[in-house]
Formats: sequence, C-alpha cells, structure tokens
Amino acid sequence: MSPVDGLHRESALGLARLLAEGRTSSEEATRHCLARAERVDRELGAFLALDPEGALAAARASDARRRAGEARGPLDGVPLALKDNLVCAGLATTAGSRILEGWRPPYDATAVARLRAAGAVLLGKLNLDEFAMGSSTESSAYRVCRNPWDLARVPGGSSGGAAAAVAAELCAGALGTDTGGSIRQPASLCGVVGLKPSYGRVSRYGLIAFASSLDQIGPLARTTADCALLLEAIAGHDPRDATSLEAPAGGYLEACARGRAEGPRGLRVGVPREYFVAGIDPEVEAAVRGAIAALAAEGAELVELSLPHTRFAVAAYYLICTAEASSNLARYDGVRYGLRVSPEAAGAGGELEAMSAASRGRGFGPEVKRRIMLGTFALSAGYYDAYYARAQRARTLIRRDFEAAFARCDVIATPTSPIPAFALGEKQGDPLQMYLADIYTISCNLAGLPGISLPCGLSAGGLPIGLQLLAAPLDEPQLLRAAAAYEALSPATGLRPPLASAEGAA
Amino acid sequence: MSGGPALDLEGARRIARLARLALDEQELALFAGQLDAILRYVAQLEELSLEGIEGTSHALALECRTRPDELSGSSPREELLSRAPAQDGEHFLVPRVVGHE
Repeated sequence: MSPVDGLHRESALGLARLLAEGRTSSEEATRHCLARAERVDRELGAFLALDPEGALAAARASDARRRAGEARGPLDGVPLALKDNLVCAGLATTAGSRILEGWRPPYDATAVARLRAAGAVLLGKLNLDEFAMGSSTESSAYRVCRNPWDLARVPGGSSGGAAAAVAAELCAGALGTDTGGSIRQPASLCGVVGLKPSYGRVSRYGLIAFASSLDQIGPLARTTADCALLLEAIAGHDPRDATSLEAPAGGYLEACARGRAEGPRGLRVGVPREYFVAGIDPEVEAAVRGAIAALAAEGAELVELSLPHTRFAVAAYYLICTAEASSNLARYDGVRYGLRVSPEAAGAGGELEAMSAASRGRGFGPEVKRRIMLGTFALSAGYYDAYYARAQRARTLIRRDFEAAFARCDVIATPTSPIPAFALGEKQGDPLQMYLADIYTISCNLAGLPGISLPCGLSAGGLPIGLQLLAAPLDEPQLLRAAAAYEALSPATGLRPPLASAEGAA
Repeated sequence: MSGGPALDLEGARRIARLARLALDEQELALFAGQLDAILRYVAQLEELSLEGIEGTSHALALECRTRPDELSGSSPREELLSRAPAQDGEHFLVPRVVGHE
C-alpha cells in the first residue's frame, strides 16, 4: 500500500512524519481529504462548507516552503477543519444559524490565525448546533449531522460536525468549542478524543460568543498526542482577549510522551461518587469503572471523592449560560450584519424595534429563542436575585468542591456522557431531557477546569463510550499525561467506525 | 420562586418583548410551557444554603489589565459597512427611531 491509499487513516503526527520524509505532499493529502469528504459527507453531514480552493492554495504554499527547506513545524501542510462558529477571513461563517447566512467575516479568530501561521491547511467549516446551543447538532439550521458509528443516531453536540468528521476520517483533527461539554460529549459519542482547555488558556477572539464566562476553544482528534499538538499551536496569551491568561503555555506533547512511557504509576486518580448514580447507563458505568480499574492495575492510586454540589450543576449552568447568551445575542439586531426583515414587512409602522424583533424572530431557531427567553427571564427585574444571582453563588460552591478535590488527587475520572449516542429525534421536543445529557460535563466549565474525553469501550450495540478526565486549572500537562497513559491501556484505542472501515482503502 | 406557574403566557409575552423577539402565539404557548418546566427544575437551587457565599461570575480571578494608549489597526470602514443589510457608504441605515408627533 502506498502512503496515499491510507492517508485518511493517518493521525496529524503521522501525516507530519510522511510530509517530513517526503513520502507525500500537502497537496496530495489535501486532495485526498477533499475527495473523501465530497464522497462520504453527502450522507454524514459533518461539513457545512468545504473550501477546496483555499485549502489547495494553502497546501501548495506549504509544499513550496518544504521544498525551500522552510517548513514551519509538524502542522505545516496538515489538513484540518474548523467548527463553524470560529471566524475565518473570507469564508462564510454561520454559527449554524440562518441569522448569519452568507456573512463573510473580515478577520480571523486568533486560534485560526495561529493554525494558519503553523502552516495548517483548513479544509472547511463544520456543522454544529445553532450558536453552539445543543447536545446533538440537531439544532443546526442547515443540515442533519449523523454519527459515523450508526447513521440513525446523533453525533452529540454542539461540536457534532467536528467529532463526526474526525471519527469518519475526513480530517485528522479539528477545532471545536466547549461551553458545557460541546467538545467532550460529541467526542465521547463518536469515539474520538476531545480536549477542553482551562478557561483562559486559548484566546476566544473570533469565537462567536455564546456564554463568555464558559466558552473555550479546543481540539478534537483521534489521538491524545494530536490534541496536544493542536493545543500547542493555539494556546497562549492574546492581547485581543482580556480573559486569556499570561501563564506560560506548552509542554503538552512532552506530557503525552511521559504518560505513554511511564504509564499511570503514582498518579492519584479521584473517583467522585456523585458521578456514578441513578440515570447512568449500566454499560457506560461498566466501561468507565473498567477504565478506572485498568489505571489502578497499572499503579495509579485511586482516591474516593465527594463533589457534593454536583446535582445542582445543571440548574446553575442553564441559568448562567442562558443569561450570558441573551446578552451576547442582543448584537443580532438586523443593523450591522446578518438577516434583516424589512421594516415594512415587520409591521408596527416599520420602527427600529419592530425591525429587530422581526429579524430575530425569523433568523433564530427554536433552541436559541428558548435560551434567549430563559436568560432574559433570569436577568429580569424581580427575578434576578432568585435565579441568576443564586446560580452564580451555586457556581462558587461547585468550584470549591473541585478545589478541595484537587488537594487530594491529580486528575478526576468520570463518565463523559451518561448514555451512548441516542437516536436522531429521540430527545427533540423535550429540552430538559436534552439538558440533562450534559450532567457530567458542565461542572468543568463552571469551575474553569481542563477536561478531556477519550474512548474507553463500546456498548453491546457497537456505540462508543467515553472516559472523562478533569484536572486543576492550567494543569493540562497532568491531564494529558493521564490521558496518554490510559490511551495505551484502553480496549477502544484504534477502533474505527463502520463508516470509515467500509470505505476501506478508498 | 415557588407556587403557581413560574411563567405563564402573559409572562412569556413580556419576556419576548424584553428580548426583542417577535414570536407567534404558537411559539409563545410552547415556550411558556417549556420554560415553566425548566424553571421548576432549576428551583432546586432553593435547597442550597447560600448564606455568606459570594457569586462567581468568572471561574478564574481576573484582574483588569491596561495597555499603552497607542493607535493600533482596525478593520477598514468599507469592509464593515459592506456586510450591513442597509448602508449608504458612511452609515448603517435603520428605520426611523424618533417618532413624528
């Protein structure tokens, strides 16, 4: 088999090696990915837009640099893709919403600019829940996204397109965003690795805002080391995001190498009892407990923990994130960009307020409207203290639970999602049931922690199950060390979805 | 926060107005019911004893930072205006704001 036949199976680091050895070119790898995406994605729905022209131009530029001996590093020439809430100069960016249909951003998000500076080739924009609000990608205004392990099921969300594209081997890696689990939960449901960095580790400049105190950009890939490679490229302070941290970034690939070489010996792994309670699918519980036992068998020390305020996290989260969303989404008013319903059509004398309300009523989908309504209510006079302020104080208790826990352990191990991928349509129409699917992932955002999901097993029905690891703020190195150590032990490492293997070497 | 419905149809209408969302009657009824169920769920926060607990607005303690007061680049005006639904080359155009008595 010549390298080109199996290029889609290569990890980003694998492609980097083939490129460095001259066994393939960026143009060849990019053409291979684009052709495969054209073929597979008609059914899968992972992409909202491909950019063959831009991608091939970037690939040729990369090849020229390499020929001149000026390759920029391991990502130079590697094809990747972006969740469509990351702005990318000149490429239509929709955030999965009709209200932004056709909008072309005038600038690059910092994370995108950093990938370009590292030489990465950007294939296109990936499907998502509208404004990243959802856990199934079903609220995308544009197209259905399916799970490569079972096309009748959701890929999770909101970075469902990213998880599906990486699992189906349409690209080696992608950037997603995570406000309450939107990287980790789809990674779990699609059997890939998804890393949400600490709050402030990656600049949010150019990320279309949903909930500003919770949003964070991070990588999805098929290996822990690829996630580390992408994080190396995007992490670090950015003067254009006042919440990005100045603490030095890096050491992530090294941490993975250490985890692989040394295993989990000496690692203190916290196991919170509140994450293994009624409501968890028995197969998920068995797989995650199996993962924890495997870590212990290789020398990790298990620490039984309590995170007593866990059961309040969903309530606090859905008040805080919707309050922030109602404020962030006020900018879509039909004035400076995006959809406008003409004042005459809006009735009420064609006033400014009527124009904005009509434009928003037409441009936003039901989940976004629901969350704007909830957030507006939680912030409204007479209700602010009972809802929003109370949720913020509950957030303090959740954060303190983790501070106490990390005094006793290095990482915390939990399930990522209480259930494997559910059927398309199964939870639509019952927003509360959908929100409860985020029960294990949202505390991490409320506390600003880094978290990762990686495959730890398959259900009897052949659906992936994810192990979530959490670490203290800015302790990505410890998190990646633990994840790489487990990856080497996991029975699910290297499993491919039927969609990818059926495509064979094509 | 306890007692009857947390949000009824009239409450939903008021919130939609505050949120600048034009919703039809069907949507209002649907959201009123769904939001009421969500508000009943979040009412469990009342069980917490929050005496003396400060709120967390950001997970990490952030300090306000300043930067030198220097000119830096910004997007050209035409670039930004060209993305607006209505503009005249210098301004964003909007419907009349001030009524004529």
